[in-house]
Amino acid sequence: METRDLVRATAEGGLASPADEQDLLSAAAAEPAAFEAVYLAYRTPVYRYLRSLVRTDDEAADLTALTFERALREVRRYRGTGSAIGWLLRIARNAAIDAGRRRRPTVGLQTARARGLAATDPPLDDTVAEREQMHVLRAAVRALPPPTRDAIALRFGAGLTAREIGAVIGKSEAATQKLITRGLAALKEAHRAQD
Amino acid sequence: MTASLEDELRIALAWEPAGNGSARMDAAVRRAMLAAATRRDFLRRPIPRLALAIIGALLLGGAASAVTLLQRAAELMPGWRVAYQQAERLDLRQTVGDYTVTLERGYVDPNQLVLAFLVDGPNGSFHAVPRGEVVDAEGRSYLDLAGGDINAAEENASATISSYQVPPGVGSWVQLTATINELLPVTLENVPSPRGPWVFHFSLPVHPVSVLNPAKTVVAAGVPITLREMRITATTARVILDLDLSAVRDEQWTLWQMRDATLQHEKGPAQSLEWAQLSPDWTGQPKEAIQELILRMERGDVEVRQTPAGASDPSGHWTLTIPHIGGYDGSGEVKFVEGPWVFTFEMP
Repeated sequence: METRDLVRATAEGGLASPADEQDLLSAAAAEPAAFEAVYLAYRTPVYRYLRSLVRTDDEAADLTALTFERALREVRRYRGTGSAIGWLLRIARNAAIDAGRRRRPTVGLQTARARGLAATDPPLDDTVAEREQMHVLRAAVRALPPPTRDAIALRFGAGLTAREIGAVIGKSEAATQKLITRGLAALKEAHRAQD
Repeated sequence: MTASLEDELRIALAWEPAGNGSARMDAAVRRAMLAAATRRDFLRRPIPRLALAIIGALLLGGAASAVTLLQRAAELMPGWRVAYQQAERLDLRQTVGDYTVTLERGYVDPNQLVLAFLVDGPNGSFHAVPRGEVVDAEGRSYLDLAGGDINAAEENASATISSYQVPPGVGSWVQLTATINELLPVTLENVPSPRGPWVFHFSLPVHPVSVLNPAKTVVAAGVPITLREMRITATTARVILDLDLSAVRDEQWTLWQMRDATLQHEKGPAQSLEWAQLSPDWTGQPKEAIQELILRMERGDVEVRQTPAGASDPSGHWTLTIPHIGGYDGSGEVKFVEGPWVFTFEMP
């Protein structure tokens, strides 16, 4: 597939296959202007993952920009091992660590839930209730131990498979699946406690 | 229950940038792409460019708007702005097929050759920027290192500033031939590139350079770095550094590069040294003959970097700061060795 086709395909709704991903990164390595297609294709999962690690939208936006700046620098060294999104999310994870923004959780699930509720007014209707539910769930995810939180955020925020997540966080597919299962169990428990 | 929770998680974690977050991200990445067009990435591939599409009507007419386009392209880098102001007016025009390429101006100092091109195409044509090569009367290549392109949708015109590395040992004048082999369309459509060649012969006076050889070594984290040479012109300041990486290089971490280095003159801003150049081993070989040189450079033993802006009066105090160096294992992983390595010196 030609570079220009790739750019257009990406702009129209994403890439078709891992081979196309490789072509896209190869094109970006050869021509910085082609990196825009990489950015357009992957900024959402990268942002969503980072947003699950940090507390504010601004922090997540800054880290997302930093991730793609670093990726642009390193794209020529990308050797095609693993998926493109996995490679980008490894850079994102390192960027978050470098920035010192990946704080250890200081509160447990219950406390996080209580804080989440305390931060908003009582529900007035279903929409507000749903929003609060979402707020609580996000806080609960953020309060998970870091490896579990990463696995949950990458699975449900960025849409990665267990194998891809393992490549990002440096664990086997089986170990990653265990983290996801453990994380879901913890969140389910928090969910039950809220009810 | 689990399925429901999973769905809730997918909804809860489907974050979207709030406020102007998305615009900030877009702007930061675009800036990085522009910077990349001036970095060492040029070494293994055709000329890096960032095409900036100007959206909206330009009020000026034909020739006047074309000048405006070139001025805007020159504004992409402070040193290019100076080069454009001090350049010789050439106004050499060549037409091949439907496309006319004009070499409007040229500037050269020992750190860079800067050429300003305009491309005019037929109505409804795709915007295109020139790609080609420059050689001097001695047959030495001036390698295209970086460039900035601006396209005006309403004008069917493009303006390009191209910066070329100058081989060592140029005299007070250079006699040059620029051959534009093709025009690369700036479009998402898959259209063929207009083919030339558009050929230009011209001479330029070589603007002055101030050279200092501090030969000063600073050791940090067990890594000695020696500042071999400083070359400062009105358009850019160049540093040449020798690194002894034996303390940090091993089989896994073979490739090294200094990161986030800056150069400051007096109380001026600390300028980024991200713009890499070929090592002193390059003596004017063409692009096809420099792969071995590039592989050696990637090991990081010699670093040649320059700033986006130069200094019309380089005398005074200079500070070169290298906060850290980065090692690469070939899979995208980077490890840092922290410095800093700080050099201070006086330019007479």
